Amino acid sequence: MQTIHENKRKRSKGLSANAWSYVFIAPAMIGFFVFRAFPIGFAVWVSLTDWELIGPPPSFVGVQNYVQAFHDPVFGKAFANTLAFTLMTALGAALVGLIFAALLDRNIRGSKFFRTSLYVPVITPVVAVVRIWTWLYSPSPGGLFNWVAGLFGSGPYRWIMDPDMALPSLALMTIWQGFGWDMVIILAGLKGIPNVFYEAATVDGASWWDKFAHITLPLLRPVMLFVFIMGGINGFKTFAQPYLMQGPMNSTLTTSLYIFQNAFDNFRMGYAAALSFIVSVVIMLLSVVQFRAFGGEEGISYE
Amino acid sequence: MSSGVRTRANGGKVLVYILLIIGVIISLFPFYVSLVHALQPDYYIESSGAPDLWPLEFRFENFAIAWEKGNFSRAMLNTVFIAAATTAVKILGSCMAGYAFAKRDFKGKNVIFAILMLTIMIPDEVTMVPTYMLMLKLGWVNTYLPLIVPAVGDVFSIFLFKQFMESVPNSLIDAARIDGCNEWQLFWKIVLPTAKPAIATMAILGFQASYNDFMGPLIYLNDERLFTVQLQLKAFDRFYNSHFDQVLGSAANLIACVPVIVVFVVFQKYFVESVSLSGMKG
Repeated sequence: MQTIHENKRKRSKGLSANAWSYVFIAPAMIGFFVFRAFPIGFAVWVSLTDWELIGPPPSFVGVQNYVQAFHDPVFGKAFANTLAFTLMTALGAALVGLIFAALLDRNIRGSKFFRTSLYVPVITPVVAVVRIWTWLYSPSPGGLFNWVAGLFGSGPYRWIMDPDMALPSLALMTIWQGFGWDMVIILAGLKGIPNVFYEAATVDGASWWDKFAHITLPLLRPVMLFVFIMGGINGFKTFAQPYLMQGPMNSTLTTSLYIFQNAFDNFRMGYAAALSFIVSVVIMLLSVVQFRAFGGEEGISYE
Repeated sequence: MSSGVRTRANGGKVLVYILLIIGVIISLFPFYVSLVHALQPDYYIESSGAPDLWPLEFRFENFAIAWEKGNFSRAMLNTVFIAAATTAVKILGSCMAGYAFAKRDFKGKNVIFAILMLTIMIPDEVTMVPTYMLMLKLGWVNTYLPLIVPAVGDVFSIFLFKQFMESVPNSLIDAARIDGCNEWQLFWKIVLPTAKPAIATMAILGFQASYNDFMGPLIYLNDERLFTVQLQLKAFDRFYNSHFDQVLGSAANLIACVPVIVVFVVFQKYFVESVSLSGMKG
């Protein structure tokens, strides 16, 4: 190490090894402090003021925004919606993902084709997905979903235009778009289960279901927890779907959408910042659970 | 390859195929009915019975009309520019920093890295409002800068590159130093080329993320000439007056989907790698 450092010093015309290191991290650190660290700190201050984009200069109001948030029935509604939506989508996508991962794990021909096709919705732009599904959810009898419901002798329904059905409809679309991600992660987990377990069970005369219930599922528990928590984190951040596909009477209002509306429709930056912190506590709690369960090294994903 | 031990008798396989085919139909059917809808002629009126599985006529020119109407030439160029610039900035910033954190010793390294890792848990929601106010102060609203520049300090990318760089052998770097490379040349000639696989993965994922990004452009871009594909697609609703406008709307949806699906199918292995990178050890 010593000789290398000396060489370096000689050849790099005066810049020490330390200085070079700072050169390498400089662009990223400047970007990080200006656009990430500073906004986080600034957000604390903004949330304690009555800052509005237009109008008089902001004044300090203490925790008033936070107090208001806890008495805001619309925020309460948005929070309840987000919780229900997140539970539906995180559970639904993990379950559907598990089913298809288990099917793909069975050494079948064309598994690559199946995997690719099932993953296509994941990479499809959400704007296009929502526009396609809005059309499929058409309240007219000719809409795809009403046609399917008609096959079972029910409907026609109003889907996203019905305040009771809007949120589940939104969740169904989100599960359809998202389960492929869960599937790929779970499939990787399945491939990691050593074959000897199954061989031993086969010798003992275990059925496919016995093996699935007593070997696969217990060993898969950490992976399932991982996809479920990631689904929870992403669910709590859901913005584009409810922004683009709004049910009546705030039936699909999520916390992210409500924050956006406060900030960019009503210009209430202070209140929006306070709401952000409240929602973030939930997301961070989920992240902490995730970190605890998997360690910081391999458990992080924001995709 | 694992043997057939996991599977039961062949009778079960038929069921597996049937279930997988049902899954594929569910995944792809919305795209198929959109395609049929997008090809319908201008006298088409939406049926009130079963959805149409075949168009009355194949009007491929609908795609040209929708392309023109939605100003997609411009939007595609804008989007590709944003995606390329964002990805380049992100890779450069995080590759340099990732190298320093993985392979160099310097004062404060562990403290700085710990601070980075701490903020990874703080969701973007917290910074949305103050970042917008910052961009407003900088005069960057209604430009591409808010979408591009912050990528230089993307913590998650720094983390990924650090992980990757740790697998680069020290002997390679030491040998280059002995051969007389200065630190700058060393990075560009030795370190960066070894990171090619990681860079390729980041580039493909970065393209997909930028192309599909909706919230960023929605917040920062007001001028229609600056619109990305997603914003133009969202704005397409304003044309809805007749049945045929809805047909064109379906064509616009597919126009917006095609580039990213093609990139995905062609570069699939990078997506699979990224899932294992970001997910967990297999």
